[in-house]
Amino acid sequence: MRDTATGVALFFDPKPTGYVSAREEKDAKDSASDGSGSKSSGSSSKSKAGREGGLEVAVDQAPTPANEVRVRVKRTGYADGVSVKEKSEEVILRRLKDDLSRWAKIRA
Amino acid sequence: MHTPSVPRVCACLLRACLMWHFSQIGAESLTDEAWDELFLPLDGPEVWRSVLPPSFEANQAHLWVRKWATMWTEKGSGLTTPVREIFDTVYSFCLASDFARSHLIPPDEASCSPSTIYSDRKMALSFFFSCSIAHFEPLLRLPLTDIESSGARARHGHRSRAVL
Repeated sequence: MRDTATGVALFFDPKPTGYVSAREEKDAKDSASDGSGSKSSGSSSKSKAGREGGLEVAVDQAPTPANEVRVRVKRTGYADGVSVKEKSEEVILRRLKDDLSRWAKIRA
Repeated sequence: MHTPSVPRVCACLLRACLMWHFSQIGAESLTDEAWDELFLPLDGPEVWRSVLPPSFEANQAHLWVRKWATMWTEKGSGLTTPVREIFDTVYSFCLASDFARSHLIPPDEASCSPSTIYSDRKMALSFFFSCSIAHFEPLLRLPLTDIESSGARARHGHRSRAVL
């Protein structure tokens, strides 16, 4: 075991569309009949962040003699069958590249 | 006559490519760190990386990244799919196991098809690559993030080590 990376993970959370699947509808009915759930939209309004994928921005040191600090971005938190949020990833990556190079110039 | 499935053919092709690649770079002489480095982009997978100038320190970069990330939870971030949650991550990125003693490895390596072992495709791919290097490296390495992604929710903020 070697590297410990530190960083942040950004989790996507799709906007609720109002669509309720058959399973979600059944769950809502069951919970309503039990009296345990709310009568409103039920599971469709729950946050799915953490299962809908995200990007992790990790900071670690390269295992080279110079031990340079590097920033790595990787996908994280995608449950099986979840589509990759390519558009949002592009926006985040473009912004990270710009901001990081600007910060590096200011500090240098 | 038995017809091999598409995943099985893909797995065999991938294995052949990897073996060829490792034979070209002299895989026998690679250190543990070099192996980790070789497989690092598969973890996630990695989509981008940048090396900072030598004067930069890791904790400064980490602080900057934490501050930078907070902008994405604000309204008007311009994302098609909004970012709802941000977690700090501190973890070791792979699980280690003694390959030879692992009960997860079928006795016949030829039957080591990713899809039959794990339903999670990313994890299966990592597992497959680990299987492919069995001749060189008696360690099974699996990215922790992929293990997490197969669960209900990613768990962050702690350092984990597990032996299979």
